[in-house]
Amino acid sequence: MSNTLEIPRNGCALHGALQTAEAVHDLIPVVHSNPGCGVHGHLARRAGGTAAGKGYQIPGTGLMERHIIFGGASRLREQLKNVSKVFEGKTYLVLNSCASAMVGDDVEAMTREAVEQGLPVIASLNAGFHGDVHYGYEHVTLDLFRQLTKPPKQKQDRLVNLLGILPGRDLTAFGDLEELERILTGIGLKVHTFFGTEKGLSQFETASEAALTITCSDWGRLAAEYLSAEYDVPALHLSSVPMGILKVKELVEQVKIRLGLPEEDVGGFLSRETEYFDRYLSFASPLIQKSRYGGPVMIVADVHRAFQYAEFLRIYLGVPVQTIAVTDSFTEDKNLREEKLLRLKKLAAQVYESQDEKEISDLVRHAEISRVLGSSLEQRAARERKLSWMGVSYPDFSGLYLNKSHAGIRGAVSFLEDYLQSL
Amino acid sequence: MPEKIGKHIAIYGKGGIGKSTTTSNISAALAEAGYKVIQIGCDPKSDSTNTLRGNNYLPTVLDSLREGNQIHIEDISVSGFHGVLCIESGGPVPGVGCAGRGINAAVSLLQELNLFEEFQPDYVLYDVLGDVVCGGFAVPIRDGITDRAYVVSSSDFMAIYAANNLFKAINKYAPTGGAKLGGVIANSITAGYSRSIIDDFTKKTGTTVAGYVDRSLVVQQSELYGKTVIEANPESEQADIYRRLAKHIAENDELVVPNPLGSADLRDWAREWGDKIYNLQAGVVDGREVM
Ligand SMILES: Nc1ncnc2c1ncn2[C@@H]1O[C@H](COP(=O)(O)OP(=O)(O)OP(=O)(O)O)[C@@H](O)[C@H]1O
Ligand code: SF4
Ligand SMILES: [Mg+2]
Repeated sequence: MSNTLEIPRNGCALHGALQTAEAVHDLIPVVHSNPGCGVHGHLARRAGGTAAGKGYQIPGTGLMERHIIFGGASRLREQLKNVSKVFEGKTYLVLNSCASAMVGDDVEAMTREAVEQGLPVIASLNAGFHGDVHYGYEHVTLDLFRQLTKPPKQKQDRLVNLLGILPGRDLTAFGDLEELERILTGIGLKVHTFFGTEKGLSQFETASEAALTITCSDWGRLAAEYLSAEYDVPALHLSSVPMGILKVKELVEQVKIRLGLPEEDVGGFLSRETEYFDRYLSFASPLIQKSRYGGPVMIVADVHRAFQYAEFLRIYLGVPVQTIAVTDSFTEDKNLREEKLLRLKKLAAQVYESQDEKEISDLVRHAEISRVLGSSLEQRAARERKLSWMGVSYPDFSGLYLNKSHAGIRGAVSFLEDYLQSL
Repeated sequence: MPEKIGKHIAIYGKGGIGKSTTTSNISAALAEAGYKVIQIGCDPKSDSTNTLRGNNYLPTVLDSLREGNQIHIEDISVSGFHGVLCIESGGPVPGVGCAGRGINAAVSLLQELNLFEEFQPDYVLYDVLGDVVCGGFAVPIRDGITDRAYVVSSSDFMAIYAANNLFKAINKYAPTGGAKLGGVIANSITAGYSRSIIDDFTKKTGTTVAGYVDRSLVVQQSELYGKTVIEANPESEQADIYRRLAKHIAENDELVVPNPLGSADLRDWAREWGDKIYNLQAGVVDGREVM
């Protein structure tokens, strides 16, 4: 409690929930908060690269002092009515904030009341103080499954759910979802990516029909476990977003076993992807090996991304990773945490956990590295030492991320470009 | 903060301990002595000033605020016994919203309405709800609204516990301009040892007793008439007790920052007293020394 955090790079749980909900097509978040909670999260993302150029059109209750004193539930009731007139035919998701949670507004009762009046309203209560953006993602997805998912009409043995990539937080979230979908479609599957697709809402409804849920980070586990417990959808937990041909092969192999796919469905696809990947890698790797590009690096990122980039650099480019600073809170599962730390320590000489700008910048200042893969918050310290810098994590003030990817095969190629260009 | 007009005094204490009764009688006694007095009930129950105004209807500040109309002092105040200006902050519906913030907003509104400039009170008494449960209820002693607080306590452990909590709040806020403690008002004094318990507690915490108010039927009888003791039974001994208390509070300028007991110390202290009282009732002779 007594420690101060400087520029913590993680917004609050409401911000996490909101940016996640915004990525679900036809879902309209309604922020039950004082003015500022929603828009500040948005402004931060606009500056940080994941909402560049986007306007803010999120309805909210704009609570004032009188609502804090007398309760803001009736303001929410009124706002839901208004919203249903402006955004017709959508589903509304009420999110609450610190203030409305602390004065005890009964959001659930208001939601029930609206439902009784025929409005499609659901709620996810992740007031900011619960945690940071990761918590918000984790719990809002869980709530969406809890409230939207229907019992399966029919199980689909070629349908998979994809979770654990955080819209608004992972810079390349949408591009990565698209690339992973392309790969899984390539071996004959249908994929629920939930976010960034027009079918988002209906994918939440039918998630129970899937034969497997794949999580690319621990932040997808909670929802995956729910789907498994409630609808018998088994889960495959990855520790990072697959990137490069080996990781893609690994993924495909595991999915093949889990779903019992015939070899002929995957073999052809994998060899085409291998050829594609190798072709571009062969341009890049000589450049890297014979130049200063190959010096040791520091990675500043959430844990699933740290794994992803560290493994890729090492396997394909022979670039050693000196330091890793992990910027999300590890899972609370102690064993899982130990295991992750151990594995990270195999990838880098030094592993730190920190969300603090100053602390991480000091690491940049003192580590024996020649470049930094991180967020703009490390850029200044890197510049002081004339180290090259590349944006791979939020916030990236100079970046604009629409559907750029660093995942799978095409994303890996695009990473190679970025890596070489960023000098 | 501009120069305060009048002395602003907050009265705290455990729920039901006699804050409103005592505050109203102090107000009545001060008014009777010729002072201009405002009593502000800072309690959603809005019953603080009942006995000063014969139980007449008085809309609360927050009721008016909720309706959103322009508010005038006349709408939310009424002149009671000997011209005591009675005001009730009011609060939200129970179980909804934030009463602490409500009291804060009500008091701010009174300042905005220039209440004190217009009425020019000698004394302003704030009768503040129950225990100091959260930051909201500490506002009257925190934001320089009052400069002194009194706490009403009986010799019951829970009342003393609440008093000790108030001491903690004063201790926390006094260094940054919050109110200091004027003293403890010992209420409902009955059994022989109840005085000793309160005396001992004040000694342990570096505070003093502002006055002892006996438990008396006159208080309840007056209340049933909708009046203070000062008004209903002006000749009674109880009325004089309140007059003396009022005089003390009016004149006392020795304010202290109390040293609250830690939780464990408070528990040990209470247990010691438990033993003493047990011995006393069981007739153990050396228990007498506590008297
Ligand atoms: N000295 C006393 N002798 C007899 N009865 C008393 C005395 N002081 C208070 N009472 C009675 O105790 C009851 C509670 O008193 P009062 O309403 O003043 O308490 P309070 O602390 O303001 O309570 P609350 O926390 O509910 O506002 C009243 O009925 C009052 O008449
Ligand atoms: S931390 Fe609380 S008050 Fe701040 S933006 Fe988040 S929900 Fe709003
Ligand atoms: Mg009272």
